[in-house]
Amino acid sequence: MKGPMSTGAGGRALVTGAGAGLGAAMVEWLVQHQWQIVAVDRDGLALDALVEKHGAAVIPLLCDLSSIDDVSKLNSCATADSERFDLVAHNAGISATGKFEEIGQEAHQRLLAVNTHAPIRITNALLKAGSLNHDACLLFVSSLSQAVGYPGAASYAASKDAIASYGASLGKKLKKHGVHVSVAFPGPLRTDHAARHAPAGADASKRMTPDIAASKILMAARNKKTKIYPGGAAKVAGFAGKLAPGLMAKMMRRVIYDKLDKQVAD
Amino acid sequence: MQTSAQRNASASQCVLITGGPDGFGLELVRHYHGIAFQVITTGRRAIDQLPDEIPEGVIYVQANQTDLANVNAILDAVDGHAGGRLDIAILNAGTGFTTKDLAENDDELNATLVANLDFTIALSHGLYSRLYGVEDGAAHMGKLALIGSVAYKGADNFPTYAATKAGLHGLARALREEWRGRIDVKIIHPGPTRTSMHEKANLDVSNINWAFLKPEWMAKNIVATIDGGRSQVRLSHGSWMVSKTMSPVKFLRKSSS
Repeated sequence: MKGPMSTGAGGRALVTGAGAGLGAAMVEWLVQHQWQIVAVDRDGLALDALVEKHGAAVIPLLCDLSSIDDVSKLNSCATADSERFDLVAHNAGISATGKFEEIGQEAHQRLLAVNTHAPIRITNALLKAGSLNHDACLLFVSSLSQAVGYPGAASYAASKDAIASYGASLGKKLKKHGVHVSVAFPGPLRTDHAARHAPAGADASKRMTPDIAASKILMAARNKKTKIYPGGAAKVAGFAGKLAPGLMAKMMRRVIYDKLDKQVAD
Repeated sequence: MQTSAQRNASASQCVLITGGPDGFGLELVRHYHGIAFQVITTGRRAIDQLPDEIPEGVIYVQANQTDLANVNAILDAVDGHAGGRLDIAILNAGTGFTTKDLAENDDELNATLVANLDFTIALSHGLYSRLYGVEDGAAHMGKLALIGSVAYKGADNFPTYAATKAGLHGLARALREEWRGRIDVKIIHPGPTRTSMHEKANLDVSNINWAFLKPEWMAKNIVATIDGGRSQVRLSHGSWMVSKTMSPVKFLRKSSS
């Protein structure tokens, strides 16, 4: 990843969840740095908007990551091409907030399919096909919940812990093969997705904007940071979560779980 | 579902142990049966292939965890044999495969994700109403222990296995707070133990099997963790050494008192 990004000559990236929020901001940042992006999303209109805005720099790929068939098709497309990737950003994620036992089992399973199964299956297919360039970067977007816990979104917390561990495992394994692995742990961002899942009365103005988060994450990935906590608040929360995990989980319960007044799954 | 026996009418408490036919799962089955619990256990193998060490009276459900439909088979057994009320659930069953290749085998990867993560989450979801309830003004508050692995922070030869165990860690930490005051949730991360799992995971450990922890020791410490106050516990060689170091101290304390 260092070469193309540092020279500004551009590289080839695959970004999941590219249609909105952090994913769209990543696409924006990459286009500005002359990358070509295979943009994956389930929202066809959002992909159309990306193409309209960025032109040929964006290759849209309509895919619902909760569907095994769609992920298989994505893998076929991504590995059939003779061109390899310099960056794969596993950004797509959905959540399910509310009381774990009251959220439908289907919602939990769909969340696991998108947040955990899909990035692992896609990565495995790319590795098997040799579709990553030397010096490429695999970027997994986990969550600050990995450090502080997330009562009120238990299956989401599980999915993000899982993907962080997978990234850590691959980091050790792929280092000698010239592929770098970064795992990002962003806190809540100023996105429609975060707003839908936040408890009533939550103040969104203090959240980091997606474009700043995307810039911090991609620049840190370029610098081969293994763990990325974008922003000072995320760094402090991440450190506190490691220092006193039980205390932070209790605090998260008071701040989030006790204030949840609805169930949202998407 | 296949069962080997009907409910033990004299049992006052009931425990569910997934993955009971082998390793420390088997030791847990024997322990709880020995202290008069009604024991329901599960496994992949057919009932006629169960080891003789499984005590008479234990209820067995054949449930391959790569098929989520089997969640209902286990819940049906809890409802049918324990009146839908559990005191302890130990979700121990899982699978894992190692590889030195860059990529994992797709079928093994899928089986690991479903059996270890999806199934355990689905079963935990279904067990809520069996572990907690209020009857005649009295609350029934059970315990849920998820069995992870010391590999949960990452392991280069079995990344998907490590990921699923990390997933259970994140689940337990969230549920412990969500269910505080209703169900006591713990995550226990065992270290390398002498079980047949290594063989199933394509790993030849015959040369170093002596270095692995004994299933009896692991089961004893899992029980102590479930009965104790800690919510996240690693049970590996470090804790084994502490227990061995502390044994003479405990003996001397007992002798002097």
